[in-house]
Amino acid sequence: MTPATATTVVDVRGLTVRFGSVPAVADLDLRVPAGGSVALIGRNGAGKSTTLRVLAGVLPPTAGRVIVAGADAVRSPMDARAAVGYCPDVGGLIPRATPWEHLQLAAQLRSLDEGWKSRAEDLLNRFDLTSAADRITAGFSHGMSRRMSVLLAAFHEPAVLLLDEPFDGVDPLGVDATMEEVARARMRGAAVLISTHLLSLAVQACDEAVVLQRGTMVAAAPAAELAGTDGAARYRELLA
Amino acid sequence: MSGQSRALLALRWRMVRRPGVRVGMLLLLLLALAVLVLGALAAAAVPLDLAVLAGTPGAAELGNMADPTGEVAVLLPTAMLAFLATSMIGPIAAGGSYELLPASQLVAFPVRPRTAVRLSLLLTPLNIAWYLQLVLLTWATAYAIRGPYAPGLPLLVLFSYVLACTGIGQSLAWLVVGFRKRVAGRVVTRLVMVALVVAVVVIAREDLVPGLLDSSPTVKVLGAMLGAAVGQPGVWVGRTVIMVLAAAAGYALTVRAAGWALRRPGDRGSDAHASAPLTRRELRRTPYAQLLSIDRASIWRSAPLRRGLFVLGGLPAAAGLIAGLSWQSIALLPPLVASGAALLFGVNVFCLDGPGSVWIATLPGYPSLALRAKRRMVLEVSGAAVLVVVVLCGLRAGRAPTVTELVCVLGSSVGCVALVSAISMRLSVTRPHRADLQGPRDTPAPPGSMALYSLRLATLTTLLGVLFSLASYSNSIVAPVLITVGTVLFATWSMRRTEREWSRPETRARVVSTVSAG
Repeated sequence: MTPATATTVVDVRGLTVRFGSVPAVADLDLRVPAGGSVALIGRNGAGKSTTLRVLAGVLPPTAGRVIVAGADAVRSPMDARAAVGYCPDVGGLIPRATPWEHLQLAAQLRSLDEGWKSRAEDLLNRFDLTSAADRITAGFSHGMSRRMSVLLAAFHEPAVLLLDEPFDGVDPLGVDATMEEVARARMRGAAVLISTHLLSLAVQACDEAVVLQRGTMVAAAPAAELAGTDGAARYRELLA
Repeated sequence: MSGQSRALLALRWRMVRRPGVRVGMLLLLLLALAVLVLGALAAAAVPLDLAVLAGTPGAAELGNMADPTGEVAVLLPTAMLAFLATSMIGPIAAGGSYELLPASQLVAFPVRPRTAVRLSLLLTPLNIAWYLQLVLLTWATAYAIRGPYAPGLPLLVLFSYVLACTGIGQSLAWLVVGFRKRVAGRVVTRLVMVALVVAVVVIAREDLVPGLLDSSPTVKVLGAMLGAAVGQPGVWVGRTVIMVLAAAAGYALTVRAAGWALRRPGDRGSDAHASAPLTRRELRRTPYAQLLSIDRASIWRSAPLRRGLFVLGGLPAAAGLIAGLSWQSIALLPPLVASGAALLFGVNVFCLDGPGSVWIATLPGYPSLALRAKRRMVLEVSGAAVLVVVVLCGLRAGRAPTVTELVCVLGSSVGCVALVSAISMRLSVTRPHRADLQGPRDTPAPPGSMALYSLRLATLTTLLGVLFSLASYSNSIVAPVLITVGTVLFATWSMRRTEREWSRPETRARVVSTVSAG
């Protein structure tokens, strides 16, 4: 894992989340530097989405410390939220609001300057959602909803970009747009965390991979080591 | 009951995880039955003044067979007519039928229309308006219709009428759903709506109500009940058989109509509203105003909510216009209307955001802004509905209210809206449910919870309305002002308590994960 440095943007120590008596995440340590990207991979129920939800400020941790962009997600949730852009694993869109209304709400609540409109138009264009910008999201396909959720997460150019299953059901052009947004975020020094089951895309998007199993980290390695057939075989061994 | 109905009922029962809730539901079912049966027995045992009212409908038809009745009997035909209206409007407002499980959760299963209809009939008593009217009719019949065969045979006649109304109401609702899938059907239903509004205005202006009530077919039902009470089979058997046959025909027609309506392709496509581009609106001045704007749009763009708002505002207003209610009676309307507004979405207000609540939870300013916006929506919708109904009914009241009456109507309106909003926010924060209110028959909570919420809201607000109604007979404004202040203070305290609960991250996480669950 990357050691904690002055440029560490995401710093998670001893994160534990329990749902009743069921442990979802147990004593997890995780650090992501500025400009770095980490893939959270693992089987269903490994604790990937739960970890991202805690980082996004949606879910309070049972124990541990979570710092995002210098803000404690528990003690200073407002500062943490301001620094984070989050694409949840399912849904993430208000069913009877349009994409443009989502963007307006985000611009208002995040106090974005006048330039937000041109950035919004640019993102809608890049994610091929311009023609759907004024339709309610309840009529969107799964792939369109995913693209819109990634767009919303990246809209305010956050210091921490959290993408939970951003490629699920997304067409190749949508995947390209997401990859481009991840690259842009890293270029401006943001920390990126991606949870996905698509190993090849995780390897492509991230420079480090963390394998979770039943809420604990079982491996952390450069993402490139999980590339190709050999990497996939090694990943399967870790999951077994 | 078919295998499908049994399987779905068993699944729904297993989905009630907490044993305490299961016990509570069983007790409620027993209580509902006990209220009906024991109330009828008690009403039948009340000693009556044996004087026969000359004006009793049906008495003339039956000559001296109309044995002891009271003033209550005079009102029975009107009450039965109101029951027929509820039996028709309830399913129409629900989009055809009452659903045990949202249709979106059953898409993978081949559920037959017959099953949907049977379950809907089974769920009908959970409609609090339907059940309360049934109770009142049962008690009134047991009390007013006396004779050697009462209350058994008159109640048999009444229940056959209830079955006929319920069957006919549900079949009509599915026919409306099917017709509205094509442009011609939508035009016809709108024309029928306009005709009904015109009819209401004409009836109100020309004072045609007494004449219409005298010629109502429910007078013949009362005649059958009176005949049954004194053992005149020639009077009641034929009419009862006709009503039972109407109930059976209504059930058969409902099954056919439901199948037809569900299969019939719409000419606007299945997602017309979702694929049409909307006019882009200006950015609001504040984040709070922006959030409110989205919440208002979420309500207006939801088919069940839009339909519910029309029924909520239109029905009591129409009833008030026709009946020409006194100011004392108008004070009883805000409880009904405010509770109805809460039951549309207020009892689970965060479901307006649906899956988007996770994203909203990551925005700065989220906790307090979201709670304020949702509270404002409940206050706004229930307040607007109450205002429309009270103003329209007030125009027909025949005279200006006295100061006391005005204070009572205002107090009832303000108090009920405040109380309902407080209860709604409390339920929304402590008892969230997954619901996106997207389907035509979606409700903000499962049927059992909706019934409990209805009962809770109706009991508290009706009590409040009755207090104001009684206070309006006096000449003092002290009592209504004190009741209003007390109610608003209680509602404010309850909302503060809800705010404290909402300020806990664990509470918010539970609400968000529940309402956004896929």
